[in-house]
Amino acid sequence: MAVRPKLMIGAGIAVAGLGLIGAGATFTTQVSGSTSISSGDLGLSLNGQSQSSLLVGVDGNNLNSHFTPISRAWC
Amino acid sequence: MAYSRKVLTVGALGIAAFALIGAGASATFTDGAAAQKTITAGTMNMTITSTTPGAWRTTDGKTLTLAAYGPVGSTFSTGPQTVIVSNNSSIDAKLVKLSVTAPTSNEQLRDGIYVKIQMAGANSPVYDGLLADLESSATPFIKGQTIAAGTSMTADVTFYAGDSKPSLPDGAQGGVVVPTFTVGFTG
Repeated sequence: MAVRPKLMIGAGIAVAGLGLIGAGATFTTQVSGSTSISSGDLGLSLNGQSQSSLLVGVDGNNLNSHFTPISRAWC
Repeated sequence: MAYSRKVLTVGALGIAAFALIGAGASATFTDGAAAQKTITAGTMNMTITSTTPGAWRTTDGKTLTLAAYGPVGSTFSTGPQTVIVSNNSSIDAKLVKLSVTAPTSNEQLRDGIYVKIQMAGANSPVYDGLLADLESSATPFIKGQTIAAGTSMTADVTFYAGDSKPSLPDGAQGGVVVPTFTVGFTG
């Protein structure tokens, strides 16, 4: 059975209208919460100097780096 | 067979009389009854607060800021941060979305932080995983939950790393991250 074009247009408008109701007929609101987290640094020093390698010194004077660089131990 | 003029006239009058009866259908007694109902629209009014020391919120009650935490080591826990969302509306509010942002100066810090969310009275957390996965993982569970009019929902939020989960990586040192949760409601 053929459907009249006017009827189809009318049905289309009605469906579109329902779609609009569904899309915009909702009350909305929102709340939010936040915080801040910071991480610390771990620094190593020997003989008053910050290095990534272990220095051996006498009387405050660095003699040499005798060991492989040490990694920062993060604890 | 030809009809006489009188017969035709009488016939015509008869048809006209029927027509009048038909027209009289619109002249029947009429009456009606109407039902009336007043519908008022409610106003959504959600607020957020916390009992955790150092927390503060904006005057409209929409934005809560918990006290800054740190500097933290590779293993840390903020402990439970109690967050209370209240529905001060006259209508129920349904949770539809949880948005999580975490701007940071250090992505390794942000990606190494875990978050646990435990609802008051619940035996197990609704979420216990990476902060970075919270939005995509928790929204399906949270979506559709309703806070009835005049009631509130309390949750304990804990940020942590280490212990039962991996600790922060070495590259997370010296960073700052600001996790922000935004909860959307419909009513």
